[in-house]
Amino acid sequence: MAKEKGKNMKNFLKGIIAENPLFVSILGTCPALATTKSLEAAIGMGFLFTIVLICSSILVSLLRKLISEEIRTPAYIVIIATFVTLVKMFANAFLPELYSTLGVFISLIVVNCIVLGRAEAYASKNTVKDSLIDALGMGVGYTLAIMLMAIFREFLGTGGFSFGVIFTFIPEVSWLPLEKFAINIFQMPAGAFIVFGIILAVLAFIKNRKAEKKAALEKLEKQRKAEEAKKAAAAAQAQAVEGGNK
Amino acid sequence: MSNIKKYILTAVTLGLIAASGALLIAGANMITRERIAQNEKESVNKGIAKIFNDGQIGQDFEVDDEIKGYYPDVKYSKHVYEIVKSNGGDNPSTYLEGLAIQTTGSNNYGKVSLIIGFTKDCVYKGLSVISNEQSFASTLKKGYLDEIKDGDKTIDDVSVSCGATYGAKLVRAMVEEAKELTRILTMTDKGANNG
Repeated sequence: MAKEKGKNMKNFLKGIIAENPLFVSILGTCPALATTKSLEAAIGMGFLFTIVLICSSILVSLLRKLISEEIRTPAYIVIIATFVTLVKMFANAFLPELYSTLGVFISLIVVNCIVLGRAEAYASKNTVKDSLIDALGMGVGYTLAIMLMAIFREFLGTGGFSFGVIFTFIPEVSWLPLEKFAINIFQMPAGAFIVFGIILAVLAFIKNRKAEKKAALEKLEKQRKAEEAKKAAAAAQAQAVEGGNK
Repeated sequence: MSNIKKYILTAVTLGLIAASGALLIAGANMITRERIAQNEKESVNKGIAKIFNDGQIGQDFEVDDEIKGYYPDVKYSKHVYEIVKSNGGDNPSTYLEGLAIQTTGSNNYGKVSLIIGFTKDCVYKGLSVISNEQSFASTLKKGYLDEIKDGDKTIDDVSVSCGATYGAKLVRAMVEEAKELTRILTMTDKGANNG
């Protein structure tokens, strides 16, 4: 039972950290660059994306034995397109500001490689439960990644944060302490590339440092082992000499 | 024989998936249709209020065959709203302030839906974006076309480099059409009911 829980948790967490679709696999970058102008838009995009990913993964996993090899890709596209259309309709009806802000990027979820990739690589080979956990992890991982980008872009580009503009069901609040120092470029596509590049560079730096640390530790361990072996050999030699003398 | 069976099974599976998807979409359409229409109406009203601050919506009508009879080249304009203003005081009568024209146009880059306002003398009042599927809601620079409000410039004089040239060209064409339609409607009975 505990082992099962641990496996599920590992399956969930891999989408957030080790296999984060945006920062590790560098997938789904187009909407990540375009919808991260504000934190609210990023949350909305992440939410819609996660719904599509979960629903399509569940259905693909359910139908995995029925869908033959030849029609796998068209079948997945039809399934994903159906859920994207549904999400688009519901967003238009119940979250019209989010719908108009995200615009064409809701429709573009159909061609998002993360959704098709998870359907092909995971959901088509695993149980519904595992596919659901994987999709949830990937969805949350992607949402957190675009939220991180949006935090930087909105803060640097506007000098603070605004809420209630897209999610009109919450009261409109603006916190703009650095409005005078706002750097407009971060609200533009170029700013998205800059932020994305910096985050990737920082992550690569951390990863490299970890790898260097690991390599250094391994080297030390090897040296220690070699010294121990040397000592043991010397001791054995001394013992042999002593035995000979006796 | 087994190959035929396989082909049929494949086609049936794909057909069933597509049919289920279509049914789901039809169901969702039934649930959301009214709400979407209501949202669209609200955004049109908001757009009109943004252009004509103190005007009220009078009559409204579709751009139908009768109008097309006067203006056969009409392409983008879909709906016309008469904007009326009260004469003030105890006088309940109103006069026509201008027309707000709902237009929808598309090019290779997607669809744009606008409300364009003109006074009854065909002076540009402003435009409001109802929906923009061209790019990330940034086809138009804020205040685009504002310089023709004062009448110093005509639409032709306005630069189209406003963030997304293709979108701007489309918008300019829509504004030009709306202006012509306003001119025709204010000259005919249809747009001058409250004049």
